[in-house]
Amino acid sequence: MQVADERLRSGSADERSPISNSDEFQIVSLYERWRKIQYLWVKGRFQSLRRTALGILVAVFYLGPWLQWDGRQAIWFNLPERKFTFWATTFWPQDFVLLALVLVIAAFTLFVFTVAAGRLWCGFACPQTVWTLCYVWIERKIEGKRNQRIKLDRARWSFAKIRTKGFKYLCWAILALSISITFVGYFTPIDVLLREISTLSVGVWERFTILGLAGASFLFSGVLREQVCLHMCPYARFQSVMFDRDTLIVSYDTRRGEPRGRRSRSVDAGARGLGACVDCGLCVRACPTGIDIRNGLQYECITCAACVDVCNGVMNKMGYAPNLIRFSSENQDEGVPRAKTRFRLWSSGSVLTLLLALLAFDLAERVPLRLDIIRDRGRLYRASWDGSVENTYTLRIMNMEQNARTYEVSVAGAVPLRYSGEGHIEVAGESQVSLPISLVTAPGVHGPATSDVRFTVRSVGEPVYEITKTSRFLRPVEAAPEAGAHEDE
Amino acid sequence: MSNAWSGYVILLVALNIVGCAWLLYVNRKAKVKSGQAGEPVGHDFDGIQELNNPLPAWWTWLFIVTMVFSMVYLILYPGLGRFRGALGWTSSGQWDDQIADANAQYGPIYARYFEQSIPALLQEPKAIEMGGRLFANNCSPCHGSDARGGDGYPNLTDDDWLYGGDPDTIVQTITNGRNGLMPPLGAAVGGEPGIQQVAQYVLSLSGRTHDAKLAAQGKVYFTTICSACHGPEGTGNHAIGSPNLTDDIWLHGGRVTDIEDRVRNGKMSKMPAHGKILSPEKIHLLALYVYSLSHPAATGD
Repeated sequence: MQVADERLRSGSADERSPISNSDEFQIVSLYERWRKIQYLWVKGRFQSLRRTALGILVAVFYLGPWLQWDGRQAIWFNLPERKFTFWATTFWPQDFVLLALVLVIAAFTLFVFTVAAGRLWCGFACPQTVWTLCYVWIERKIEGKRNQRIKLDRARWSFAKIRTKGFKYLCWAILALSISITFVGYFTPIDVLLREISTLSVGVWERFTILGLAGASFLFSGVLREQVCLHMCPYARFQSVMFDRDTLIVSYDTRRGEPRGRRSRSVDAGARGLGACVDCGLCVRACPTGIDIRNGLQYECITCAACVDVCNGVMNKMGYAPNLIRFSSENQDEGVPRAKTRFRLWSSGSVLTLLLALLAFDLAERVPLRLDIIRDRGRLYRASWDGSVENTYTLRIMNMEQNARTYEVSVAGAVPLRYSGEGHIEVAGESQVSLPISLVTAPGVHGPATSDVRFTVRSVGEPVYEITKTSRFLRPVEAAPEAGAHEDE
Repeated sequence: MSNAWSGYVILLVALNIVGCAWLLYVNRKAKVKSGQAGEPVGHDFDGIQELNNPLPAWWTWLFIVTMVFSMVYLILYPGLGRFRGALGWTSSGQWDDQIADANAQYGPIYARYFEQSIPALLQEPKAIEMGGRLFANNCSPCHGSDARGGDGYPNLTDDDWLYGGDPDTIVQTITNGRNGLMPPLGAAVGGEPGIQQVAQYVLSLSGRTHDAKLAAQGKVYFTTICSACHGPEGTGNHAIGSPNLTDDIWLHGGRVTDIEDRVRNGKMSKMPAHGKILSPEKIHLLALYVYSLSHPAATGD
């Protein structure tokens, strides 16, 4: 992938005035001032698609915490109790391997998606992009169109400017708070949270998260915008290794567009030796990261396709064919046919398929029941004078389901054992019980000093879940004649 | 920490902050041949060149913010040698605060249960559950998680008591501990033959199989010596914690050899005092739990 760093090569050197000039050397600052990029609010096919995606994603985010299931929040990450509820299923820290799998799948999905569609995620679905669009929309409603915004930014500070900017920041703050309160609503039930907010009795962690997240949203999506994509996002930085020559990119058709030049509609471009590009500069003004797509593929490009839409509008007005700037690929740009085998695509795609199958299998086979056996540590065994031996265990039975279940406890071992304690135990939904039980051998039963004993816990009623764990049964070493006699020799 | 070490640490910390600031200051500019961005700035590390691709200026501010943060932190919290920080924070103070918070949160619950008598609390499953957790943390290492004890540690579930099983006595036992003493009496009963005879008699007390002839001889020793503590019938004495020998419950093992060994060598055992470790409110709930183990009928519905 050829990354032409044109913005830095052409744009910034003259703005960073050299501090001293000599014939041989000059001293330059290694830091550049940040210029706010004011871009056009473009209308067009891809921008409608973007705004539709934005609407759906924002709606899903805001409505998520309000979904109810069985009298409580359907999606609820209950951190204090370490319970993660999705409708009828509750996940536990013990299901961590599933979370790890989901995260690996997310990483591979991003990988496959990037190989195939480039930075479509960045331009259309990334929260940073989505929220930035919301903040920009507010800014545009209050400060006006691009020209008005630039004029306002350049204007001297006056009461009117302070009022306009202040009102914008107030609206931004309200948006930021609505985002962070909704986010916290996934962790603290949203109705409880809103009640706490209305009575100003929000807990310290909620307060911290709401204010911190609102501040972060305001700062990152409202103020910093493209700086996040350019200088903070790790995904943006390692995407180039996933690209191949058939990856979807936004590009300018150089052969058709050049030589660029201004002309009137009535002029025959061919006769004047001009390409299709009328050099109106709208593609640059539409770009949220401030690049000129005509300089080739650049690392700043988030494939939002604003330049595609705005250029197609111009082409339409000029009566030219559309798609001077369009979704394309490096091969397509050079007229090379698509590669027959795209190793990165099919290899990562098959790994993703395998992982998805593994996740489906794990979810289907998940046993929402845990059993831990804790052998009493204080003593190995109790030997009675009549020869019976007793071992004590604590069974910790955890019901990971939402409903109460009754479990049947059974024991099997190499030596015949008598089980004293409850045979059936009811465990309330999403809770665990500790069941101390003792296993006793009858007097006169002999056996090895240590042997395995298997505890099985099985749910009564449908669906049947069963779990078996092994522990040890210990007893005094029985005096074996001659044992050890030869060891000393 | 002596003043010299304290000064040394302060110096190092200050030098570090000043050093960071200096590093940032001297690296803000570079001398380049060409003012163009993307050109080498002349820094070469094993063939890896630094190019003039300027960073956003706000990155510098992040550096400065971290330095200011470190200075504010060093003023507020301990970090500069012996200087304790303006907030006076200590880890033990934080622990005390957390204990105070916990007491404020759970204190009322304990206080409410403390006001009620232990037999009355048998109707409060929550209180018994709390006592059970206290038992698991404090008592189960010796008495077992099922409270059924073992060699040298009494079974607490069988309603057989060394010192008495009424609630007040259980509270006493937990608070002050107990010292059990069985003196060695091998010589007093006339050596090995006497030891065997006494052991056979003790077996007969709980109706176990024994040698009647030896037991008859042992009875003589028992009435003159052992009965002082275990009573003429061998039923023990709660006042001094001497076990009842007639109930076939053997604290230190019930084999004949075990019983002979007790007579021969005696036994000292100890229940440690918990009055200084646990609050009276907690001991109240612990006693409730222990009491509930041998009074299960009352805990039913």
